[in-house]
Amino acid sequence: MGEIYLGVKLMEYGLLGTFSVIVLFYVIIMALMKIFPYKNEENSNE
Amino acid sequence: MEQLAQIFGGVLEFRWQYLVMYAIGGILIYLAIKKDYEPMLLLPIGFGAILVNLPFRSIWEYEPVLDEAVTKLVNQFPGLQEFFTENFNYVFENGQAYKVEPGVLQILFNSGILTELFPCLIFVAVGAMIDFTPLLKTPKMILFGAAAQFGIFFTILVALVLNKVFPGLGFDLKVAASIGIIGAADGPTSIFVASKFAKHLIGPISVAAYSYMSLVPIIQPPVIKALTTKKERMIRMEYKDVKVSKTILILFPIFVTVISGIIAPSSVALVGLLMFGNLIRECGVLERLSKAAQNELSNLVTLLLGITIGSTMYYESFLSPTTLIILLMGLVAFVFDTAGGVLLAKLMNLFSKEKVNPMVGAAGISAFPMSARIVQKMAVKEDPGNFILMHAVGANVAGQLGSIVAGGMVLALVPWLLSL
Repeated sequence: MGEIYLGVKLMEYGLLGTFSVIVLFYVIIMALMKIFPYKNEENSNE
Repeated sequence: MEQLAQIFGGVLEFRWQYLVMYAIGGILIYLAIKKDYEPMLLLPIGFGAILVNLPFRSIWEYEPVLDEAVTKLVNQFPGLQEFFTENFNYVFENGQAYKVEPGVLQILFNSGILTELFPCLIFVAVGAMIDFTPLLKTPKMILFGAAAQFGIFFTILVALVLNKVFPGLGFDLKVAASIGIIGAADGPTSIFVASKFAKHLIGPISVAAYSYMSLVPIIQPPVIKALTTKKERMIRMEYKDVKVSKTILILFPIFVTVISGIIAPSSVALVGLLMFGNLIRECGVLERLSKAAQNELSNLVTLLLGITIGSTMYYESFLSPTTLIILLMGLVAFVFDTAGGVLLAKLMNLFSKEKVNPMVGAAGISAFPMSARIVQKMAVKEDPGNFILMHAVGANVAGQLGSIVAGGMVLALVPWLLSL
């Protein structure tokens, strides 16, 4: 396989992979913010 | 006469190329001291470059010593020559075996760079320094951490095209990947990837990575201006000061580690140790360790890392057109990283009601906190009342995540693509 073709594939999969993982992190942040809001923690401390 | 030659051996061994390397080392030291460009790294790198280009290069390896026992053995069993060369640092001349003992810097290189120990330890320290709160408060900014890695992959492609045009460059996929990763704007990630794929190019790659990181204030503004209108640069962004619970700050590094480890196992050394450092910081019960990671560990490893990187800048390998091309490729990577972030922000603005100042996208590179500061400075220049620093910091922290994720992707994908 040509090196340039491999480079294009690397770009394709690399960017797709990076975005997928980052989007997953985004989902986790949103979920965590929903599940553990700041208020709850304050209440449990009291 | 022979004694004189021994005494003045250094003078006789001197080469003009050393002077060029002293000049390069001197420039790095000048940039570190006078311009304050990444002084913690550029100064040791610059001095390391001088050290390793002294006659006889004894800081890297000692003069070969004749080993009569091995000479006899290899003369009896010639097949052993390769074994001794590969495993025990022997060189063979005129049928005689010479043992080459590694010098101080080669020992550091072998144990700290080739094993990837130094970059990994730096990740623990960096993790202990990162505060993810701005990102958790503005989660949308995390997307810029991915977009601003565009330069990495674009540069890999450019390097491969260059190699096609000039086949002598020797930029195969692994080398191209190591060059492209300069665009991670993250020194340890660049060193980590280069130590896996292109050990012989660690010197120029690291110098490019750290130099451009310090040159972010010069590189980014023209790119941002070229891609945005004044109206776009004046966009104001609402900042909601959402409180983040401690539980989230503790769970976030753990979740990130597990997910990265499952999706891209080869990134565990990068992400896992970064997040370990962050967990130490956020857990609240290991303040001493957190401080040690942020100060003692960071300082010590940075010191050794810098001088060890500098020691790879021996004139024979450094003074070549390849080095110049790598330095240029690094610039390409940083420019297209910035462009990637800005263009994603513009794309998001086409579909979103809440407009994003496209400059924030440029802060998605890993150069923290410099990039965020530049973006805020540019915003204030266009509109003195515009405060987008917190969003930019969020994007900048995301960039630190994005760069190691992209590094992990490169580490996982290159061997896989080559095996196809």
